[in-house]
Amino acid sequence: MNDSITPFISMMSIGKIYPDGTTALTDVHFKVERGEIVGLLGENGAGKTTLMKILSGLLQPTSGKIIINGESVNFKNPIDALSRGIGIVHQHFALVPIYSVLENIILGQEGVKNSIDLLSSLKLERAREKIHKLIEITGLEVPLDAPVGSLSLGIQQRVEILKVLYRGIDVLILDEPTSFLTPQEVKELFQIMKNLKKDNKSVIFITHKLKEVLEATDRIVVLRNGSVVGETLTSKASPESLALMMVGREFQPPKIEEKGFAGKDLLKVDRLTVKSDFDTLAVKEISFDLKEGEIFAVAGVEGNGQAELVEALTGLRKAESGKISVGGFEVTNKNPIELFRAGMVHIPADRHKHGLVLDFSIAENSILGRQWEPDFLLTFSRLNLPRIRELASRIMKEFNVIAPSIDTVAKSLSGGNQQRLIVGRELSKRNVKLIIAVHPTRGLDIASTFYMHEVLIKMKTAGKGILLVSADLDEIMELSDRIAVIYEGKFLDIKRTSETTKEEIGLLMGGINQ
Amino acid sequence: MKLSSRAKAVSQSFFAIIIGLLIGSFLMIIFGFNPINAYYALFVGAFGTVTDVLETLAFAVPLMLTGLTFAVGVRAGLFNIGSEGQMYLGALAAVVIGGTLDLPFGLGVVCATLAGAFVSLLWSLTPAILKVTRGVHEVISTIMFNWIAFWLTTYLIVYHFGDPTSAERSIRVLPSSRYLILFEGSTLTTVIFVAVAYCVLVYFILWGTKVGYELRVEGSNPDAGRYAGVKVWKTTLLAFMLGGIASGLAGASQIIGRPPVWSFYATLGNVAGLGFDGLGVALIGRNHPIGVIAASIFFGALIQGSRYMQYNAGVYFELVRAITGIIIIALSVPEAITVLRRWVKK
Repeated sequence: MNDSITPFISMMSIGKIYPDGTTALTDVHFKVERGEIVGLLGENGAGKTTLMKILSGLLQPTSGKIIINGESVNFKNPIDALSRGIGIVHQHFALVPIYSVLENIILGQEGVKNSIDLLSSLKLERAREKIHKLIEITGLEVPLDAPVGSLSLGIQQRVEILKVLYRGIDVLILDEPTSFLTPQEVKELFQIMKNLKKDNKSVIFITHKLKEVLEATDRIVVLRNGSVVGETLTSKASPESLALMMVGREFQPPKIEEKGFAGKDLLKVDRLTVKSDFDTLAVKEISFDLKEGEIFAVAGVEGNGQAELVEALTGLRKAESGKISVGGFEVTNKNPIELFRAGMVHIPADRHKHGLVLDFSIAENSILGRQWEPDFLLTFSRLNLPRIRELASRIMKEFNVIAPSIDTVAKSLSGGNQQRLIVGRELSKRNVKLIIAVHPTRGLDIASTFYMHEVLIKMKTAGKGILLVSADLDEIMELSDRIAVIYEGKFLDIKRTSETTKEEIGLLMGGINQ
Repeated sequence: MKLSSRAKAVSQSFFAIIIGLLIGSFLMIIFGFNPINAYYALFVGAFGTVTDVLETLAFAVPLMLTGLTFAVGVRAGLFNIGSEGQMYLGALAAVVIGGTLDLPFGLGVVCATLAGAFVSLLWSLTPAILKVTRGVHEVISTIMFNWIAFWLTTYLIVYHFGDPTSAERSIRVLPSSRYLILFEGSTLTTVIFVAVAYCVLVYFILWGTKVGYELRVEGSNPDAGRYAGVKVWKTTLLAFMLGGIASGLAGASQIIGRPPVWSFYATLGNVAGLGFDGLGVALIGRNHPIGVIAASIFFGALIQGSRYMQYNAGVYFELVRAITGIIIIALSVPEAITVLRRWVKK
C-alpha cells in the first residue's frame, strides 16, 4: 500500500467546455488512492463520464491538470493514459464479434496489429498464459476460445475488462457497468472489483444507482452540473444524504395549482410490456392513466425503460403485451399516422434522429408526419406546396423559429430553433388531444427552455393531456401534476407532485422505495 | 439557404473538374503529350460542330436513364445497382416487340418502348420484393440479377431471336418501331425527348407528391421515416419500380432509338456497361433527376470528345480512358462521400 501524503492520482481544478460552448465541468478536484474503489455518483449530464474521459485521455480538459505520483501528466490520447496505467471500460463495447475472446483481448497489443498476427501460435500461447494468470487473480472467468458474438453482454463486459487489465493497468474506470447486467452478474462484478482492490489496483465506478454505490465502494464523490457537490466515505453515507446531494438542495413548491383532475381519461395504459433492442424486457407491465388537462411526468435515470415506453406509446416499437388506448380507442401497435389521427402528438427525445430530416428545408420538415393530411394534398396525392409553405411560415412566426427563410435547411438551425420547429409542427395540428413530450428542453438555452415550459402550460390550461418524460427533476417538479418514477422497467411509485419532494423522487430514481 | 447549398454543390463540382483536369494533365505530361492540345481536342470533339453536339447528346440518353435508376435508389436509401441487368431485359423486350410486331408507325414505337420499360420493371421487382419481405440486401440481389439477365439475354438472342442472315446479332427492329433520327448524319433520335421527359416526371414525383416525399424522408433519415409513419415497403417498391422503368427505357433507347444497327448484339455490346456508368452519372448529378440530365451530357461529352483526343492529339486510347476516368472519379467524390457516410452510419 502506498501511504504517502501525495495521492496516487489527483485531478486538480479540472474544467471542460465543449466546442459548442456547453460547460461540462467546472473546477473539479478528484483523487484516487492505490487499492481504493471510488464511486462517482451523479445524474445524467452531471459530468461523470466527461471527467473520466479526461482521465483516460479521450478528452483534453480546458483547464486544470492531472498529477500521477506527484508528476504532472498530459494525455493526448487513450494510449498515453494506458501507458500511465489508466484504462477505461465504456458502456458500449468495442469487440469484434467473430473473433474469439483470446483474439479480442490481444488484438492491437504487443505487435498484434491485424488478423494475420493472430495466426502466430507462439504469440497466442504466451498471451493465453498471461490471461490465465489474470483470470486467477481477478476471478474474471471467460471462455477464451469462444467467439465473442456468442457470449452474453455480462461476459462480453468481462472480456472488455480483461482487455484493459491485460495492458497492465493500475486504475480501472468502469462507466455505468451495471446498466445491462442481471443482479447475479452485478454481484459477481462487485466481487471482481474487490479482487482487484486486493491486488492493489484502484477502481473508479461510475454510476447513478445509490444502492450499488453504497454496496461496492470505499469512498463516494458526487457530481452535479459539472461540479463536485459532495465527497464522503461510504461507511458514513446514507441513501438519503446521497440523493440530496445528487439532485440538489433547492426546494421549489409547484407553481401551478391543481385543478383536481376533473377531466376525462385521455390515455389509458394497461399492463404494457415492451422489449428492448437486446430482446430483454425494458418495460414490465406498466399501467397508468392520464387525464385531460393533466401533466403526468415520468421521471427516471435514463436507460430504465422510459425510451421504450415512449416508443411503444407512439407506435415506433412493438408492444409485447398490454393495451394502450387514447380517448377510448385502442391504439396498441398502431402505425404512427393512426395515432396522430387519434389526437396524439409526439415531441421526440432525439430531434435529429426522429424529429427532423436534417437535409430537408423548414418547409419540408413542417409536414413530417403530416404528409398524409388532406390539407396538404391535391388530386393524385400531389403535394399542395403553397399550403405547405404557408404552414411553414405560420409555424416560424407563431413558434418563433428564427431562420433566414422557410427554405433554410434544418441542419443549419440552432438546437432551440429546431426544437421550436418540431413543437410548432406538432402543436399546430388540428386535433391535438394528447402531447407526448420527451426531454422537451434538453440542450436548450434558458430562454428556449422557458418558452417550452410556457407552451406546455398553455396546452395544459387548454385541456390537453401531457405526458412529460424528462431527466430534469426541476422541470418535472415545476410542471407536473403527478410523477411516476420509472426504475428498471417498472413504475416504482406514482406520486402527486404536491405531496412529494425532490429528495423522495431522487431516492426513487436511485431505486430506493421507502 | 437552399440556393446557397445548391451553389455549394455547383462550386464543388467545378472544383472537382479542375482537379480532375489537372491530374489528367499531369499524366499526359508524364507520357509526353501536350495537355492543352489534348483538352482542346476533347472539347472540340464534344461540342465543336452541331453533329458533335448531337452525338454527345446521343451518348447522354441512356446514361441519364441508368443514372436515374441509381439516383432514385439512393434517394430512397437503397444501393440499387441492378440497372445493368434491367437494361438488358429492357433492350431485349424492345427488340422482340419492335422486331416481330408489324404495327403502324407511332404505335410500333410506343409498344416497343413500353415493352422495354415494362419487362425491365418486372425484372427489378424480384430484388425489391426480396428486400421488402426477406431483408435481402439489394446490392447482393441486384448483382446476381445482373448476371442472370446477362446470360438469359444472351441465350435468348442467340437461340430464339437471332438474325438468320447475321449470326452475331438479333433480329432487326422493323422501321415502324424505330424512333426518328433528328438530324441526318447523327445518331440522335427523338428518344431523347422520352428520356428527358421521364427524368422530369421522376423529379416531379419525388418532389411534388406524397409518396415521393415519403421516399426521400426514408432515404434521408429512416428513423424520421418511422416517426412520420412512412411504410418502408412502399418507398422501396416505388424506388425499384421507377428505377426499373428508367433502365428499361435506357435499354430500349439503344435498340429502337440509336442508328445504325437497330438490333441487339449477341455480345450485348451495344448496351453493356451503360448501367454501371449510370452510377457515376448519378453521383456527378448529386442523385437529383435534373442533375442527372446535366451529368449525362457531361459524361456523353467525355465519351464523344475522347475519340477526338485520340486522333487529333494522338493521346493513346488507354490514357484517354484513364483521363476521363479520373475526371469522373473526381466529380463523383463529393456525393460518393455523402452516400458512403450515410451507409457507414447504418
